[in-house]
Amino acid sequence: MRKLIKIIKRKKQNVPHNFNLDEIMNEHSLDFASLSFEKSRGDALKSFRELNQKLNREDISLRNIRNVLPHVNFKQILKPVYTIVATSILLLTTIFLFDLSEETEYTQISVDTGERITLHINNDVSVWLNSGSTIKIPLEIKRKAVFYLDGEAFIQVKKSTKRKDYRFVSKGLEFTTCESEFHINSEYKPGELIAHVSKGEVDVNIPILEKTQKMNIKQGEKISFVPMAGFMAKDFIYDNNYIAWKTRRLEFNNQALTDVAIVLSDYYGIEIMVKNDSLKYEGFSAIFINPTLDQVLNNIMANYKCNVTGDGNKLIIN
Amino acid sequence: MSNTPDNILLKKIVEGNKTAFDNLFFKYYKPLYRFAYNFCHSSAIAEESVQNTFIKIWKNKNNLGNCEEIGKILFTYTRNEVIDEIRKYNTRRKYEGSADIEFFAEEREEINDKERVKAIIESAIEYLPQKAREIFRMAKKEGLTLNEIADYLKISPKTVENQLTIAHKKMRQYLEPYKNLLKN
Repeated sequence: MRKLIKIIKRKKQNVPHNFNLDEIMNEHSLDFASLSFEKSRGDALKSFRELNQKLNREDISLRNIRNVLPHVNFKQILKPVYTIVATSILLLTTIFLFDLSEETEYTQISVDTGERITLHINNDVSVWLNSGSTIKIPLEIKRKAVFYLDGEAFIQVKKSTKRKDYRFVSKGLEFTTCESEFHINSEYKPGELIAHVSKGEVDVNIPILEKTQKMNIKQGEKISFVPMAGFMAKDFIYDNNYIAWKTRRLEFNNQALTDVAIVLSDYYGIEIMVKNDSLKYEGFSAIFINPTLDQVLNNIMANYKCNVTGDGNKLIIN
Repeated sequence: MSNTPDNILLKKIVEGNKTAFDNLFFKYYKPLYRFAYNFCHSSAIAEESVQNTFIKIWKNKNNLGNCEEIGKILFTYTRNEVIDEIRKYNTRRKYEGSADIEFFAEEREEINDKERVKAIIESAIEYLPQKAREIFRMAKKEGLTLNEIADYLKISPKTVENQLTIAHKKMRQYLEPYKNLLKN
């Protein structure tokens, strides 16, 4: 009977039982010492975007993709979610109606272009708001406070003694957390939102997609969301340059110069591109603290004996 | 959808189903990237090679109808793309008098299967949660015992054992869709 239960459990968890890793390794004369245990630098999302551009699939043609991570079994995730949702409806409705009876008032804060501000909203929540961004904050923080964000922000939520959940809504996505540090950029590319979690975890509710109603993003993970295409994907974070606007720290670890140019373009708001084919794949490593664009470009020029020219709209590394 | 077998994905791709193509991309991106990177040790070349592989698949989808194992085809295409990219790169470097990327295509041919399996297993390791991956590395790569790991990480041997169980379970889950590619 115990064996039978084990088999059923395994089946439920979708774990194959006739799978021996050591046997596979032996069969191919592999040993664990020769394997890399480091995360690879391959960025599936970035590569996917580039692939679509190369295939001229501007329409992204990804409608109704619920999720693209191959190892996530949504049936398993959704079943308990449905059950929880069904059994919680009555309770939630009561709470919701109770909350509705007291209308929430908001204040709106916008950051001018070129400015950045830090908001310490209460003991639990701090928000770093980047240039050109807007946040709507409830005047009174209730049990489930909701903030509305348009633009780019780094959010820190500390664990509250009252175990409050905080919700941040951006481009129709709802990020819920009680303790985490995360970043949202609702205008990463036209019509595309990205979010990175650097500490703790965040639940993301996606009301637009068909079945994937909730996704959990953990420390070191990021998501990309294109609402018009109904596209959502999760991947690992490969560097911390996405918050360079907050930390003033740019770090490159053997990154291709073309990728470095993209980071610099985002950071300085000036289009920078590598035109010289032989330089495009060169790996660049450096750490800059609060650098000027000149300092970074001088470093690149000194390292690769190249020139930087301008054509009125962009800087070109030759 | 994400666990759809390769033959079904391939059938849909041949019919022009882009969602199936996208699923194939995300299913194979990590192993192919690692496979390419292990050959050339350049992230840019590895990325370019994997993208070119999928471009080739999409453009030639009408000719893929008789293919039995799209997974093996992807790895073969990627390997060829890496060789092409390195040749292009080295040609450019030659004119500049700089050093080439060292690459021995003929020797590599013989161990193509081994490299493929290595890349898939490395991708599976990457998928492990951080703590489980660290403990799995200490046990498998460094050959430490449960008690040695527990001492080093200042946790109980039972926790180490649990984490190793999680690691093995997740590895098996991850590797299941690639099982045909793990055989000789």
